[in-house]
Amino acid sequence: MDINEKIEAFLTGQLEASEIQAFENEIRNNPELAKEVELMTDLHAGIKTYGKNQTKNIIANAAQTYHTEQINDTTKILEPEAEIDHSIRWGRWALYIAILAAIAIASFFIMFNETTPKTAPELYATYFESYIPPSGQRSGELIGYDLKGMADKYRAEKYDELIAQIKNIPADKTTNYMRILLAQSYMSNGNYVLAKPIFGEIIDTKDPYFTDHAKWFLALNHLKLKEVDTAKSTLVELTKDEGADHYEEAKEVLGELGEE
Amino acid sequence: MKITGIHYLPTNNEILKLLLDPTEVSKNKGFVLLYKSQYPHVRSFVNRHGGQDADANDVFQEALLVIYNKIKDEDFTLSASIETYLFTVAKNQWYKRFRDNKDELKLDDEDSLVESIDDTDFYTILTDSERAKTIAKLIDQLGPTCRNLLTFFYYEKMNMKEIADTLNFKDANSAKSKKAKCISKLKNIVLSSALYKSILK
Repeated sequence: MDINEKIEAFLTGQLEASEIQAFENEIRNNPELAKEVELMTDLHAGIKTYGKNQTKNIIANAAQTYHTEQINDTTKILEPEAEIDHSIRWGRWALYIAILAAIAIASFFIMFNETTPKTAPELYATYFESYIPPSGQRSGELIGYDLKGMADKYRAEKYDELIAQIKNIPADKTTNYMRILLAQSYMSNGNYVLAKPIFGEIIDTKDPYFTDHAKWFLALNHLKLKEVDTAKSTLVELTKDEGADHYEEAKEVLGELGEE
Repeated sequence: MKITGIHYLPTNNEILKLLLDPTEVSKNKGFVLLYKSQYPHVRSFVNRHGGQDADANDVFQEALLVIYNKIKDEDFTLSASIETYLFTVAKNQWYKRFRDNKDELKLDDEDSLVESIDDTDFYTILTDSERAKTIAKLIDQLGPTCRNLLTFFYYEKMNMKEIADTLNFKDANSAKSKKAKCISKLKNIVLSSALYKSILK
């Protein structure tokens, strides 16, 4: 091994402990070698900085791609179509009129409903919408479970099958993604009592992706079971943070329950 | 029954494969995918904690760089999803900025959001010495083959066989011999640089 190879091995951590000690002694007693090692250390650091700068450029380009796609998506929604055939135009007018009529009817019902407070189970029925977490929360794939398959089962309303599948997974391998599907499956089957502790487990993990959702569904669960005070306190927690998921809905439900 | 939020992006391994591919096109795809899956969460978090979209973008790009530098490391084990790591690093990076700016920070919030991922050495990735920055500029004076070869070996941590395959060398030994020549060229460029000499003084 020539001296350059030895310096390289020293700087890239390829020497044994005894060799490192011997080489360090050599550096201490040889100023020329010390200078060479210092230069090579700088070169390695400089190459890494160069590489990082290249990566920063790639990331900046990716950011630009992402933001441009977002703008294009928005523009597509806002842009009128270039050529519209007259029949389509008349069809659209009919659609606008239908929408206005629907809004008028809906307004009437809303006004009517304002004078008739909803019961807790009615609030549950109004506000419950099932939630399937997006792909960002699929850490379960790391431990070999087919989360997409579970979500598909949930969508296909195969609740019993899904409950059996998730309950069969060892507790230490069960992720919040699975728990949220499991609890909602129980709710869909009418087993509101069984769903409650599962939402509690999710809340205890303080998982930023799932905690707000779990609180929201837990509150709805309490409403379904006519546990109004407990529902209120869970909803109040959600309204403490304006950025929380379901913040607006929680405020609305509290309003319906006579809480400001 | 309305179902919301259904879309599946590639798995962890697929994203890692894209990021660790030596071509810029693949890396770009990997970073775009991470932007799509995690940037909205990070932006929402930063907005909720006193930052603007531009701050979120900066923090997210720093987090991507940190993550990228970690996953290249052979000793690094991904014990959670790459998205979880990314979100945690971005979040902690935002808290760090907050502290650095001596703005008010709700410690309760910070404590409640601490996660189990050890990212204590992540931030050293984001700092470079003056000497390193100077040499990085001088590397532009090398030809593209040397630039790529040295970056692949020292930064991307690819082995000589992979480098030989990527840069079309005959074999690993040819790549190794070319690497020695490239280092020697770079050494000459650096030693004759007035800027580098001025920093050493």
